[in-house]
Amino acid sequence: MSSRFKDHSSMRKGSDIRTYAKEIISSISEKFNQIGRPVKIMHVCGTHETTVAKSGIRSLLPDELEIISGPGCPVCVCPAEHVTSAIQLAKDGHIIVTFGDMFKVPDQKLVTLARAKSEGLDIRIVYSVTDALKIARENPDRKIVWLGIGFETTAPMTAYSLMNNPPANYYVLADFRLVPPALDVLISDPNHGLDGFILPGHVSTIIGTDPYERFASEDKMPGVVGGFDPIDFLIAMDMILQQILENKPRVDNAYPQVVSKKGNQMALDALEEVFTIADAKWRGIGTIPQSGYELADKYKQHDARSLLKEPIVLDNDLFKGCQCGSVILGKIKPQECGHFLKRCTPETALGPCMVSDEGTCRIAALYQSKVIR
Amino acid sequence: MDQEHEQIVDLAMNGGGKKMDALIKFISENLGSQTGSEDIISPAHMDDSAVIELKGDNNKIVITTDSHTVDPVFFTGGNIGDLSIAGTVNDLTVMGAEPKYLTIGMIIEEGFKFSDLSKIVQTIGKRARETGVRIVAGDTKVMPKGDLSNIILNTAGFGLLIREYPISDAKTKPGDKIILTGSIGDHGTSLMALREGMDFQTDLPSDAAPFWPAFRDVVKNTGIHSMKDITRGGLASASNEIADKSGVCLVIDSEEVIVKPEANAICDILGLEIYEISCEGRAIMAVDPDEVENVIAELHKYELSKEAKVVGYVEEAPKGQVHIITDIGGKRILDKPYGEPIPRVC
Repeated sequence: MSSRFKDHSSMRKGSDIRTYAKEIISSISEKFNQIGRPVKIMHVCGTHETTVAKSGIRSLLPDELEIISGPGCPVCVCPAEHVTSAIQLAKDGHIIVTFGDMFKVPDQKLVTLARAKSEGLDIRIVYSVTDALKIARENPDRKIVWLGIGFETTAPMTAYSLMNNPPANYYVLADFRLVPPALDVLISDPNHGLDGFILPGHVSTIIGTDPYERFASEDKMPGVVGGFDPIDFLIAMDMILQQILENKPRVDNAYPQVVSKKGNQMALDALEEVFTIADAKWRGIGTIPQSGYELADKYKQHDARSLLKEPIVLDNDLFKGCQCGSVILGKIKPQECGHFLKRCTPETALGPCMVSDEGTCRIAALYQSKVIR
Repeated sequence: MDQEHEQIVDLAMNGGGKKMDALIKFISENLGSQTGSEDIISPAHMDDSAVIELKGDNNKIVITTDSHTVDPVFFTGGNIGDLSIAGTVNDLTVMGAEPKYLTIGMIIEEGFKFSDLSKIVQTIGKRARETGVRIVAGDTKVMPKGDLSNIILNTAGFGLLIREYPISDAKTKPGDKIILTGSIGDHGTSLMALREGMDFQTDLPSDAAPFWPAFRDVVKNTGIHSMKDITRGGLASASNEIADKSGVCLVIDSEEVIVKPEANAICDILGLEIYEISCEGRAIMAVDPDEVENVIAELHKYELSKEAKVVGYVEEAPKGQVHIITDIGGKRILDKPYGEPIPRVC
């Protein structure tokens, strides 16, 4: 086994979490010392970044063992066109229905759905796609546009909504993205300098661990699927250092309670039924081949883009000087952006990474803005 | 005033005439006689202003004012009347002052029920009596329905300093210990649990309570370098203000801070930070290490502060910051909250 801290849930019972954390950290430090060089680990999940920042994990690790936040925030990578299109559709008289986290995301001109709503457009926040269907049924003479964004985790819910005889006036503005193609982009950069990936627990619940095997076998990148409490994350770190130490890249699963090798077959079937995989734009990054879900022909009558008179395409999708693209790829830290905590704060966000609860800039602003690494 | 069914406050009571007089009489009676005592309303006759005569050497006057809105007006463990006394009395107490006199302004929405008004005013009377403050002036306004939500209270307070120098936010020193007088976040989470659309089954009461007279003796201890009542913005705001004004770094150990399980659960579900949630009967203090034991022993004498304990310490740098030692022993920033976690908690 790659870590002696496998069964954390049983060990934690009644024991002191701080003492237990100390044990794992000393194991991590020992392995790091044996490796004997700087190590960079990237996670690709906004919730992981919250865990790391909020529990102060970086403050407990050696300076040269870096944890970098990668493209793990679905709101952040959602293209600006999504916001612009949604607002255009609202102006055309349709009802826009969305999760709250898209509400304050600015487009490249700092226009938000929140502002559009305050100007009188019909934009509604809901807690689930079921609410969107309900609104569609209650308003048969209007067209309802559900803002479908997220990774493999959230896409199945929208898929189910389309499979179960939705009302004809229910439309989806689909901008779902896939995580593995983003990892390809990271690895394809010869200067990536990464020593391993902590893989996203929630996404992996759906897709399983198999889609990551090629990163280990072909690209020689160690990978560990990690859970979300601080102890889970530390165990994942311990396991990945073990792989680096042994120089045997593989995919370990440090979140076996919920993540399996093959994933959730029912959800995968629904994704295959409703979507086709296509090239897709990532905000601040550009087009990544085969990285997005768009509606399959069978469901095109529910495609919100068909309601637009002409497709909306933006050349520049970030506000001037906003470096969300580089932050998302882990190339710079939020503190290295000239706008960070100057013009761009959680209250006056210029880019999506400062808006979303999963955005690296927002998390840095809230929990480690000043001195703590 | 006749107590007919569902008597309500109407706009005519804003007119300065007999209907207004009746409203004021109703409030005065509920403050005083209906709860068995008129002693807290003084001077007893209505005039344009109160006249207060100062006697003795104790002549440093401490003044504050606080406005109160809350949704819902009646909550588990109290109502807006409790807040109107606690908020102002606590602001005076944490300065090291004995609260003496209050004024009350009431802005009431047209249609507000007299039955609810009497409950609120009786609460104010009861709390004022417990605290030993006199209500010396008051004012009412009635506003059209929809112009405000139910009722807004304003209390101004007048106290006398009972130590040589007031307790200042700016006097915390490196080496001081941080004391919290009880659990945090009870008030804010208790209200959230009652809000429309949130279906939590909990009886978690608000912590709303006046510090006086419980803190009468402890505030005389000169080992207390800083003291604040924790209100809006919770521990995050109060601790950051001390760190900022004193130019020190407060380090708070999350393991030592008392959070009730219900409060923690509600925050988890709503994705809120417990440190940012409001209290209405808790204080944070920075205390000289030599006096910590005495201060804690004094606080433990009273129900209000029987759980008081040391939760952290003060370092010289980085100045103006608050650090949290997390459950796994890591360190992170606790910043002042951006905006409010949920509007109109108090």
